[in-house]
Amino acid sequence: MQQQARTAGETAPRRHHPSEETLLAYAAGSLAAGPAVVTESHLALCAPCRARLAAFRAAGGAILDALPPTPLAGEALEHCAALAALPAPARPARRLPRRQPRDIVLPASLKAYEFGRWMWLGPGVRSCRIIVPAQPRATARLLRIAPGCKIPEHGHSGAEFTLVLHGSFCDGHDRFLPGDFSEADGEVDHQPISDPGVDCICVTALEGRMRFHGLLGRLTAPFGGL
Amino acid sequence: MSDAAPAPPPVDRDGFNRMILAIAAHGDREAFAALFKHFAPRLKTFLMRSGLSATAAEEIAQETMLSVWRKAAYFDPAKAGAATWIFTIARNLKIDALRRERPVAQLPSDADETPDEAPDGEALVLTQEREAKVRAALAALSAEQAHIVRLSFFQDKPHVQIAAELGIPLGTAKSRVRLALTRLRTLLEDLG
Repeated sequence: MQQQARTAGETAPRRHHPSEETLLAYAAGSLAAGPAVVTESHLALCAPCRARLAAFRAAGGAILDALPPTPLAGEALEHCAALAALPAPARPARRLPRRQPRDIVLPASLKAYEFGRWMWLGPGVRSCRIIVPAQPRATARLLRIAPGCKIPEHGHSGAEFTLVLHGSFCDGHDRFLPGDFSEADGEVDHQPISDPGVDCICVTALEGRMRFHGLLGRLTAPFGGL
Repeated sequence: MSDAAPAPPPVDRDGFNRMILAIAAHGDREAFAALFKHFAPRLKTFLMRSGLSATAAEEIAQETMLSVWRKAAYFDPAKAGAATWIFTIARNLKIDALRRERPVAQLPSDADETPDEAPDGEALVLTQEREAKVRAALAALSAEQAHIVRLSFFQDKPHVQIAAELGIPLGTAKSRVRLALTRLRTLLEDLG
């Protein structure tokens, strides 16, 4: 029954891309783990977004370069130089992911992750969690939607990030094809429907929490849907 | 120590690139000390503004510099200049620190070691041009927009602070953030 669904390669130009805010947050390292997985999957397929990312990283470098210095402890350089003189510790061998879905061909950007089991979410819709190492609350998951099915409501208050890997869906305004990135604000009322023909497979994540936002982040959590 | 206020020495960006290459080529300790003196205190500022404590910021700043030493062989000025490369290392270490609270001495495995495009002489020139363009674009932003762009690098919800600072609604602040980042992008494209 489960024929292998081949996921997107880098062929046609993508039409829907991450917003500037999302790409900059990814460049700065402040995008939550789940949305970062979705963004990486898009970047792997989209050369123009890789170029935008490179520009944002360069902006990060320029901003770093122009910051006022904060002195370190007096012996910091000596301490660092002493460590540098030691041989680098051996890197722990990377454990191969134990469980991955066997009914789809994963894109390279997702091959390093371990996955949960497919769960039935409603008629024609199954989902499996993407397990981000050391980030148990990451919200990334794969969705597999049979042709012509509604993607179930999932009541999110923050933004939702989705990348199409295979098939396509329509959110009422736009059609999203493989490689396309959808960023739906929590305020937008949208109910995507997969197109007829083939299963639609997406990687999707809700805007989650980074554990560490400083005092401001904690104070403002009620506004961020945390 | 001169008594007259000396003009700040011109920043030699190629110099930083050469220093990292010198570390890679022959473990140049003087180059490392010079890089450390310039970047470590700025990394500490950057990390503190990103919400880390002074102690954690200092640790990650040092860990970043240690990675600069150990990974110097992976530095490729055709892909990114010194500041951009160091920024990216710090970014990855910051994510690790925030996510894992792992022992600080352990180095992360980051994807940046594997080049995704083969660099060549043309790429080097393009990279230098891009970084000059980025500096010009940042300089061309209005004061408020430059502030928003910087804040966006330090905080994951810059609009929240903008709203508080300017006494404007969150929605309005969100639009200003979007406008500032779009303008930065437009400037980057125009300069190209």
